[in-house]
Amino acid sequence: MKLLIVDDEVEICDFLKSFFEERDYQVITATSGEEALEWVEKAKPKVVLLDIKMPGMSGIEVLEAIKQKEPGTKVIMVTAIETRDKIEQCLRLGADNYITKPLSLEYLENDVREKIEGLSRPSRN
Amino acid sequence: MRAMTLPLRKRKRLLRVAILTGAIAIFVFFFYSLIRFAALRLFAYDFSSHEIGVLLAAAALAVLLYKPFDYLTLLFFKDVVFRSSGKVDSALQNLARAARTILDRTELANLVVNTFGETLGVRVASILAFDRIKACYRVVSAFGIKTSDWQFLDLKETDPFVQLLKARRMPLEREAVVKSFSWQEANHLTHDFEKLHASLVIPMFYDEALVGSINLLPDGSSKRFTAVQMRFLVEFACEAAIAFRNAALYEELKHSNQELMKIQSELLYSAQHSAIAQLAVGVAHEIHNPLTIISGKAQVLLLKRDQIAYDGQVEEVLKTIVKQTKRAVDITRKLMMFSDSPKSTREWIDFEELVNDTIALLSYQVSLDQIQVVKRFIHPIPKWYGNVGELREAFLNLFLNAVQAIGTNGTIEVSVAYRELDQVMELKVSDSGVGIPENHLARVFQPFFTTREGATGLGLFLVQQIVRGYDGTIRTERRTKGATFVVELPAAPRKEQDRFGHRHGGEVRPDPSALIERS
Repeated sequence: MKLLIVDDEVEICDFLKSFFEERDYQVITATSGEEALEWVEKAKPKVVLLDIKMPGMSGIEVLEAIKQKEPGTKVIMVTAIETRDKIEQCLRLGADNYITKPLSLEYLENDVREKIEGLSRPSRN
Repeated sequence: MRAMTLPLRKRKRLLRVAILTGAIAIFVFFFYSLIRFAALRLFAYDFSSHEIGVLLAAAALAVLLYKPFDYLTLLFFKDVVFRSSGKVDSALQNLARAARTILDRTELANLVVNTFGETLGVRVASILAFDRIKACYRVVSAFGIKTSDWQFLDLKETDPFVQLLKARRMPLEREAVVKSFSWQEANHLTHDFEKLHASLVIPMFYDEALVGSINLLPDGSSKRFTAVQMRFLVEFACEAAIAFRNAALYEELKHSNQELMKIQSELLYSAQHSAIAQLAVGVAHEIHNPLTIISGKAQVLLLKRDQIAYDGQVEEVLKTIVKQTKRAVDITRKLMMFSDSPKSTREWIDFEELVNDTIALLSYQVSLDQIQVVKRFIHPIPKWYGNVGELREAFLNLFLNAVQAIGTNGTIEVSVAYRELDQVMELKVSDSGVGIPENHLARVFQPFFTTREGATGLGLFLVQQIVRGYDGTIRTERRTKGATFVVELPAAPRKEQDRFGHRHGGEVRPDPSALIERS
C-alpha cells in the first residue's frame, strides 16, 4: 500500500499524507520532480499522485520518466490547471487518471484503492 | 442642367440659318423696292399690276448675289468660331489647373467629362481609369450615356484594347484603327469602341504606366477633331494623367492608412487579451491550491462525522465550505478557458447535432423548470469549421443564460440558419425571461457582470471571447418579453482572407458587440 504524493506545496502534501495515513496507507511525499524520481527508484511506490505545475521538472516530465523506469507504477495526475491539450498529452504519455483541484477526497481515495487492487490482481502480461 | 443647355455647335448652326434666312428676305425686299423705284423714276412705269413678276426678278437677283453674301457671313462666322475656340482653350486650361488640386478620382473624372461635354460640345465623353482593387480599367465617369451603360464597364489588363493603347501610346481613332486590322480583330475593337460609345480614345500615360484614357464621341456630321484640337487634347491627356495618378496615390495612401489603424486596434486588443489570459492562469494556479486545502480539510471533517460528535449546524457549515470553494474554482476555470489555445483542433462541425446534443444535456433541468424548448433549423445548414469544445461551451452558456433568465415556466427558442449571401452562420437563442434593462445592455458581456446571485458573471463574456476567436459577432436584441442573443459566425475567418488579399475595402461589416463593449 505504498503511495507517493508529489506537490510543490508542502501544505497539500502534508494534508494528503495525513488523510491517506489515517486510511492505513504508507505515504511518502516529495515537493519536486527530481525528489519524486529518487523516491520512485528507492521506495518503488505502487501509486503516484503527481502535480503538473512545479518549479524545475514539470509533472509531465516526471510522468514520462516514471513510465520509462517503472512502467508498472500507476500515476494519477492531480492539478489546478487543466486544458484539453494537457489532458490529452498526459493520457498519451500513459497517465492512469487525471484529477483536478479542489479534490473530492472520496473520489480520490476510491481511485487510489482501485489502482492498488488492480495491481494486486494477476496482470495479463 | 445638362439637358437644358444646347451644345455650342447646334446653337451656332441655328444662328447661322436664322441670319441667312433673314438676309435673303431683306435681299428680296430690297431688290423688289429697287426695281419698282427705278421703273417709276426712269420709265415712269408703275409695276403695281405686275407685282409677282417684280418679286420673281428680285428673288432671282437675290439668288445670284447669295453666294458672295454667304462667303461674307462665313468669314464673319470664322471670326466667331475662332473667338469661341479661344473660349474652349481657356476652359480646358482652367480644367487642367483645377485638376491638379482635386484628389478625389471620381470628382476629378466628373469635372473632366462635364467640361468636355458642355464646353467642347462633345456628344459623349467618358474616363477610363485603372482600378487597383479590381485589377482592371473601369469607367469612372461619363457624360452623354446612361449611368447603367457605363457603371459596370470594365476592361481587363489583358484586353486587346488595353494592349493596343499601351502599344501605340497615341490617340486611337476608330475608323483608322479598324481599317488597320484584319476583320476579326477589328470586330473586337469595334465592339470595345461601341461599349465606350467613343470614336476617339486618348490614352493617359504616367511614365510608362497607362493610367487610363479619355474617350470621346465628337458631335456633328464629320465626327472628327481637327489637327489643332487633337494636339490640344493630347496635351491635356498628359496633364490629366498626372492628376489621375495623384488621385490614385492619394486613395491608396488613405486605404493603407485605414488598414494600419485597423491593425493597430487589433494589436492593442490582442495584447490586452493575452494579458488577461496570463493573469487568469496565474490566478487560477495560485488560488486552486489554497482552495484545495480548505475544501480538503472540510471534507476530512465531514468524513469523520461518525467519530466526532458535532451538531447539525457544523455539518451544514462544512458542506457550505466545500460547495463554495467549488464555485470559486468554477470562476477561475472559466477564466482559464481564454488561455487555452483554441484554434489547435478544428474540424468540420454539424451545427444541428451540436445544438441537439447540448440541449439534450440539459433536458432534465429544463423539464423540471417547466421550460419549453423550440428548435428551428433552416436547411440547408452546411458543416462549419471550428473547435467542437469551444462551440459547445459557447452554446451551452447562451442556453444556460436563457434558462436562468426564465427561472421557471417559459419558452426558449433556438434557431440555426446559414446565410448564403454573406456566408454567415447565424445562431439565435431567445428566451421569454425577464429581459435586459436598458442600462444593463452595454454591460452584459463584461466579465463578472451578473444580476443573479451565485452566478459567476463569466458565461456571456466567455461566449463573446469564443465568438471573437472566429471573427464572429454577438449582439443582443430586445423582445417584447425576454431577450434574444444573436451570434454570427463567418464561414471563413476574415483574417485569413485578408492574408491572401481578398475582400478589401467597403465590405467590412460593423461589429455591434464592439460598440457595446466600448461604451
